[in-house]
Amino acid sequence: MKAVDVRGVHKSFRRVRSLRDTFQRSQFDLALAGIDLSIDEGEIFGLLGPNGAGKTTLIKILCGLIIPDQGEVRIAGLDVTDGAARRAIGVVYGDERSFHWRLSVRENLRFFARLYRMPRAQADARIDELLGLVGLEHAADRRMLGFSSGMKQRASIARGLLHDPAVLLMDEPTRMLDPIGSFELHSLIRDRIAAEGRTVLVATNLMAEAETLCNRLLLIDGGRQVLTGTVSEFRAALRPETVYRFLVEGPIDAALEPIRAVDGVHEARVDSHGVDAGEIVVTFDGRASVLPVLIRLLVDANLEIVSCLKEEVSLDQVFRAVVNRRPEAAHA
Amino acid sequence: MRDVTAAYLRRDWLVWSSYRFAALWQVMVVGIVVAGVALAGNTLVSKAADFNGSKDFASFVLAGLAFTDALFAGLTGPSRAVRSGQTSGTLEPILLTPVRTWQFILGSSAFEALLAFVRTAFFIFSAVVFLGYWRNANVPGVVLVFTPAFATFLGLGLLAAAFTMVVKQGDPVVGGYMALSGLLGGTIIPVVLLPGWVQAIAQLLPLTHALRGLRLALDGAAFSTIAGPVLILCAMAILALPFGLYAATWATKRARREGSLVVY
Repeated sequence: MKAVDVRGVHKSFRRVRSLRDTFQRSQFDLALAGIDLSIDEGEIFGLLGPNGAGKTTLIKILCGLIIPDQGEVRIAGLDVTDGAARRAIGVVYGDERSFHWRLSVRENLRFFARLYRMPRAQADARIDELLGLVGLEHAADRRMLGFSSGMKQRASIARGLLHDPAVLLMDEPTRMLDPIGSFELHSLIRDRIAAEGRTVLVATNLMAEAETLCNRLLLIDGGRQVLTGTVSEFRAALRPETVYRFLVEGPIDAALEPIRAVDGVHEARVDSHGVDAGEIVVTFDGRASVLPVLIRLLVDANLEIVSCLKEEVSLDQVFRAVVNRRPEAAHA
Repeated sequence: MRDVTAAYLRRDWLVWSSYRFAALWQVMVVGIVVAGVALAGNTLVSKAADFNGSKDFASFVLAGLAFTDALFAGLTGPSRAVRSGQTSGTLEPILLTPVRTWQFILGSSAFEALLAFVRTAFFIFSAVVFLGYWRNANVPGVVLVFTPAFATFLGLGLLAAAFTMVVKQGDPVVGGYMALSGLLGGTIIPVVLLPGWVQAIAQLLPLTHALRGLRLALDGAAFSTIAGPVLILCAMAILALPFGLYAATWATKRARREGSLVVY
């Protein structure tokens, strides 16, 4: 059974009309078009996309807060429109505004625990456990009015986990956090929350976050599914070749021709050239095993290899490449 | 439902009591109103007018204000609960729980209603103790009139909440109905003093029948005397409550479809 199973989800929103347009026909903005998504149990899945791509809409559809125009959504095998599915879903908001700020975090969590029909003793024990997990035990009885953004975010995680859901949906969880807070949150998600076998879906527009946390990714843009796969599949999608940079000492130019002649090598060039040292950049077919051959040729050319680095395409590059392909970006 | 209501009551008590000045002020207002009405009312006593069962103007107005406050809590509570959920951002997390929409709306309105009931009880009790009114009240009769009256107002309140869920602002139920009822429902101005055609309109308002029945019961009228208003209010409740519940559920579904649950 899939933890999350999404088939052909479409969603459009009616555009808000001004008073002058009251009697005009309604216009609709496409939010999602034909999204298919399948996430295994225990996976940390990344939902990527620029602002306005449709990430939050998809998260809200996954938790039943928005009804799609078309398509089917199942969470832990249950149709999301079925009330029973709500017990399988936890949601962590990136927005601070989802608590009763005049109450303490403990009282907030007690309130939500009662809505989940948790017995008082069980709820109190669970709340203590979760406050410890997110590091809020020292502030448990303070009103949330005085909480920092990071503390509110931690409280949101505790609430998302309160009823021990099988699937945790996190909408831009580090949006309000500083780098230290983000690092700690990533550790918490990876080492504690997902380590319990829970499925986690993280919506983010931070590529580094997706790269750090996620097993697989879905990139959406303008409501459309652009890419799905692992981080390495994402990189391969943008640049199928492999690029190596060799920092070498010795007579560089003599080595270039033999390298260019190797089967599978697309390009070999000198990137920077000193008196007795320089950097050779070699681009070759990612499927070919030419690295040992290249090293042999460099050694045979009496070059000393100081370093050898594989040049990775960052997810940021993939993201920019995809976003720049958009029609509106082309016109910009 | 009991657990859910208890959760809302506790939450709203904690929020209400956290605003210390507002809480104290609300308590003080009760005393001020009781004293003010007694003083002003005794100077305005008129033996000529029929005060819908009340013996003098002060008791007429006091009963009108006290019960209008309690009944309007049923009218305004649901839409205020929705609005508060939208503006505080708590509506979505609450609707993620297994709680049903109507449970959320009624649960969120419960504290306001309870507070209004306490205020009303305090008004009435003070008037009995300090002003000597309604010493022979038909208390079960008061409950008998109040129950269907509050159910009717709650039904209208759910309809108002549906408007708030869909159109966000400018709910015509609370705004329109309160203005109409305040003027024509007999809270301060006896209905019998209104022009004939206005009295006909007043008969369509549940407040008119509620206040008439409640005043009669407070003055010790027999069950047979209050049976008329009770029957009318029961009929109104049977229409308003299911319609309000349906409207609130429909509106929530529509807001889910439009993705506008927390838009305000």
